[in-house]
Formats: sequence, C-alpha cells, structure tokens
Amino acid sequence: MSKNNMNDDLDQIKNSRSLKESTIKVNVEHLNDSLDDNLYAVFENDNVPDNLNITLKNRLDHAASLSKRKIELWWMPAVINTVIALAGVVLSIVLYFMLRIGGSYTIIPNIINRISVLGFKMVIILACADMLLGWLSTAILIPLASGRGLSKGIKIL
Amino acid sequence: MEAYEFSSLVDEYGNSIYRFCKGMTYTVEDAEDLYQQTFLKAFEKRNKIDRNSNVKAYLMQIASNIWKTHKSTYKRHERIAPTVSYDDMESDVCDEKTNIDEMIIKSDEERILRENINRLPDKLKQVIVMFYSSELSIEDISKVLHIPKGTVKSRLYNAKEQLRIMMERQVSP
Repeated sequence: MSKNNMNDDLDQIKNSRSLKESTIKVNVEHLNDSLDDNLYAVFENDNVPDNLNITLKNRLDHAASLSKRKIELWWMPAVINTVIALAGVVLSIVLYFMLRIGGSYTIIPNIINRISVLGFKMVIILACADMLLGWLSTAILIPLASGRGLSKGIKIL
Repeated sequence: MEAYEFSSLVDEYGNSIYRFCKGMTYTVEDAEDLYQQTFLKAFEKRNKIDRNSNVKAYLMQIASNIWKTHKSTYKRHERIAPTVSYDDMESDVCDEKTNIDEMIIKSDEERILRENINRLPDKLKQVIVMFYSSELSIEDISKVLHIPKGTVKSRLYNAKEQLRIMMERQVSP
C-alpha cells in the first residue's frame, strides 16, 4: 500500500470518528429527553438465544430423570442385625476356644468356671433366633408399610 | 408442578428473566450462567410454584437472590477482563432497508445507556432493570425485593435522575 493511500485512509478514519463523536453528543441529548422510551428500548432486543434454551432444557430433563430414581433400603435394618449377630457368634466361638485351651486358666481363671458348653450353645441359638426374627419382621412389616404408603426410599439427586 | 410442565415456564418467562440477567451482569457469559442457575433453582422448588400465582415475580426473586450471592464475582469478571459484547450488533443485521448510520447511532445510544446503568448503585440498578427489562409492576418489585412500594418508587426516581445527570455530564464534561 502506498504512503498516499495510507494517509487517505487515516484521514477518512479521523473524519468518520469526529463525525461519530458529534453524533454521539447529539444522541446523548436525545436520550435525556426520552429516557423512559430509551430504557425500554435498551432491553427489548435482549432475547434468549435459542441454543441457551436448548441447553437449559436438556439440563432440566436430566435433573427430572435423576429425581425419579431412588434406592430402596428396606433391607438395611435386617442386614445390620444379621451382621451384628454373626459378629457376636464369631466372638463367642473365639472366646470359648481361647478359654478352653490349656493355659488360659491362668489368665482369667474365674471366667473359665462360668463357661459351659450349654451356655455357649445358648448364645449361638439366641444369635440365630435374632437373625431370623430380624428378617421375618422385615418381610412382614415392609409390605404392610408399603401398602399404607409409609415406606419411602431414599432418593438420589 | 410436574417436571414436564416446567419447561413451559422457560418458554413463557425466559425472555423476561434473560433480560434481567443481562441487565444485572456485565458479560453475556455471566448472564447466561445466571439465567440457567435461576431456572435450575426454580426446578428444585417446582412443587412450590403455583400457576395461578405471580410466577414471573417468583422467578425474578430467585434470579435476584442468586445475583446477590454472586455479584462480587460478576464485578470481578468485569474488572479483570472487561468485555465488549457484540451481541447487540449481531441483532441489528443489515438488511436492505436498514440505514447503517441509524444502526450505528442506535447501538451507540444503547451502549451509553447500558454503561450508565452499570454505574448506578446496585439498589437503584436492580429496580431500574426490573422495571424496564422485565416490565414488572411497582407492587411486584416491592414483593421481590421485600421493600415498600414507596421505596421502589423513590429508587426508580433517583435512578432516573442519576442517569439524567450522567448523560448531562457526557454532553458537557
């Protein structure tokens, strides 16, 4: 580009800028006179972009589908009960054989006299009865509660 | 309100909420973010929405609350990286009937007014934007902002006066 052409372009830009500045000043005065109309006009072209609404609706659909899912935890009390009962049985077995082993008499002599095979069997029976009762009550009560709309699953969001 | 009914609210009130979001934030990205957060928050509370009540005011209240929570973030975004939005220019697409000079003049008018609105204190800006962008009534604005109607009217008056003063200073600095 020649120097003359560049100067011409620069002059053109300067002229357009000065014209623009004077135009702005006139427009600002105009704004003052009809501020209400201009305030409405400033916002009236701000419409939601289509792609934004599409994205939003996809997110809303996703949130809606997530809200329908729920986890049923009706079995949890019975499971916890079973785990605790089994732990008690295991502990009883370990303790029984530990104390029956020769040499343990010197460690806890008074307890060895209290433990009998019968007592050990009773512990096992009680633990099994507890587990059975837990599952039976769950099997009977949860369907009854569902029928009355009382049981509710935990929802994942 | 069921989930499938909620999307009709987006179609019905989307423009009003978007105009409020765009008026209160400084960038298009923040406006779109605020817009989506408003409707997602409203979706969580869709069971409280009653079609017979003023849904627009309720949505505006949610948008206003979210804006209050994040307004420092929006201001920081503008402070760190001020942007010039070309969206308004894009909307004024040249056609054969459009005078380019008029288009430039109009876009300058809007730009100046937007800049001055952004300079207003937040309390005044909120009222001006709600009244003119979403066309909420004085009563609705007072319910949204939990202020008396008289306060809304005085803030509206003060905001317009401040805008006039700003304009006058620009004409004769």
